Amino acid sequence: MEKKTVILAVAIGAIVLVAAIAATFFMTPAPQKGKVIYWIQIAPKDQQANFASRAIDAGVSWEPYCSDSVLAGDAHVLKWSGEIWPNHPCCVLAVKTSFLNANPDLVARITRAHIEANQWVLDALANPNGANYTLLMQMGASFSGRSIAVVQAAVEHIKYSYQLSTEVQNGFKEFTRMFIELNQTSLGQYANVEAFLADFVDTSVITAAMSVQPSEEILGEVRIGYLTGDLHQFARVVAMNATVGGGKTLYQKYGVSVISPNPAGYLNGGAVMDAFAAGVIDVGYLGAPPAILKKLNVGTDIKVVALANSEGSAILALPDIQSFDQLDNKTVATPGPSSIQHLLLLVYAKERGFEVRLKGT
Amino acid sequence: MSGSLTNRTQFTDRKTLLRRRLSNIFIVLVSLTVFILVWWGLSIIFNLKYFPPPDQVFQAFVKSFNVPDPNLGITMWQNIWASLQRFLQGFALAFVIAIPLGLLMGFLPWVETFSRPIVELFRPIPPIAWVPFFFVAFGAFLSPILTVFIGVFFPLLSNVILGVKSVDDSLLDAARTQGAGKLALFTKVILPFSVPYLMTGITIGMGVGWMCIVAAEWIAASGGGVGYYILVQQQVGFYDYMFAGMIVIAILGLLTVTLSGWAEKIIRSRMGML
Repeated sequence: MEKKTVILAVAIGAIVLVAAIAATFFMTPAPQKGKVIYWIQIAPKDQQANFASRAIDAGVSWEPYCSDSVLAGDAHVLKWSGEIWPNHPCCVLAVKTSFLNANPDLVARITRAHIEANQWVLDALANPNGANYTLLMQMGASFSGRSIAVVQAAVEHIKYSYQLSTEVQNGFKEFTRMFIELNQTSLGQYANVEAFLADFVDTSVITAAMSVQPSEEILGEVRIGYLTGDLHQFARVVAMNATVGGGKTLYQKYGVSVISPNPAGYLNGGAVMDAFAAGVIDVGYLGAPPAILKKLNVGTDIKVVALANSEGSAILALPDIQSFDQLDNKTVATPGPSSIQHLLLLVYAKERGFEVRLKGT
Repeated sequence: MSGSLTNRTQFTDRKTLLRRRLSNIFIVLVSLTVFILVWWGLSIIFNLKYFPPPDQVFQAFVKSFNVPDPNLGITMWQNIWASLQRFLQGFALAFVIAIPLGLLMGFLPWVETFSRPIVELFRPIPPIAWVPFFFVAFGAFLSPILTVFIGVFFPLLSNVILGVKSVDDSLLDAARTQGAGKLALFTKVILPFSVPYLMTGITIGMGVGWMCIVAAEWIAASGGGVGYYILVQQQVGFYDYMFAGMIVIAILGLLTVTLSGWAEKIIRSRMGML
């Protein structure tokens, strides 16, 4: 009896082992015919380590993580996002619609601080020898946890602007159309993309913000969310700095007390949208694509009231890969299917005649 | 007369057993119905897109098997296959390391004295806590496999050690009296006696393994996987598909644990331990 039992146990063990070995065999798919790029989701903050270990051949990331990999010598830029899609919009300032309706004055004040911070960044960048430039770099290094050299390199490819110009709004329309084409969303209640955009963007807030005057007293409190270490959202970092505002933050200057429920920041735009849905934040900085997806798919009611930046992302590759065409049958990391970086990869790969497939399939 | 009485008793026993089983099936059906009705009711009351009703989740569940996911380009079958491979590989790795180590730790005191501090140091660390390190150190391919390995390894090891230590001293003495040496004691008494405990370890490990794989696939996964599928659906806001993925994990966990529990029951019954 004991012998039979042992045989049974050994048989079970053998089945598990054989199945595992068979699984290993099947896990390596045969290479595809034709030009194929394999994508894998890896957060931008982790891409440098994966370049260093050569676990990935290329990656699409946002700043400062692009410059981080480049300055470490682990990767180089194949294409800046501005070369793929000039002036493409990227991060935005969004507000929960119910908060906007209930507190239009507070939102105008927050937006005013955002506009002023944006201008301060542009002025500081225009004078690399100035004290404000040094302060900006220090703020960027402290916020992103990267060196000043990385921050200096990063800001060179980001276009800071708050304007919701026609070009920017057309960019939002293009994102929406792309997501619809990829079956990642549908217009639902909206008759067309223009109708969705009318509900997605509120240009009146910038106009209202322009007439906002500084306030000696704090008029209200706003909870704000943002992405971890993302230098696209430099305006918020600047607006939170007391030195910039001459002893108080730009938010305080315009009568708003700002608190960050998640001081470390959110990992991606989808998480910022979830924070809106959960009622944790009133205002948030995030990429336009995840905002579009979650507004359409989940109905999270937000409005984009200002732009934060355009461009500022890149396709990077290992030093020995010299051109995008050499990425055939190679692995490219992206922040995931809801990100602008993923869309940029799809756009450029299609342009170069590549099929893009999930790695391992 | 006596034979007819025995037959009648057996018939009554069978009838009672059948009645009990039917009653259990009825209770399970009522329980599931209540669960689905409560879920339905709450989803209607709250009316939130991220808390879809069961019919919507069911439709997403069916569709996920038939139509490739627009975000990943693969069906649920492929995601299940990807997770299953990782699960089996992690499990196999734990199997080949934990069993010999557990047997040695239980049998040879100096091996236990040497290994115990290291094992005790690592045991309290949740497998999920290893995920970020594994990801950076071993990449997207090995990271989920190693996380499953950690999840399965410790329950397996503990149970094998327990099995070896639970061998009745009188059994060992009897074997020694019969002239059994150390090797014979190990192969003829200790090893067979540990098998049911090993099966308990496997059953526990099966459950832990599925929990680990979801967490590991959330950081990065090559070739999809049910855990990764859940994450992506959440990121794009397809909550009905996200819940469908969660149900798939529940079914897979239930199937593997039931299968392992069934094997454990057979072995324990063969060993006269039931």
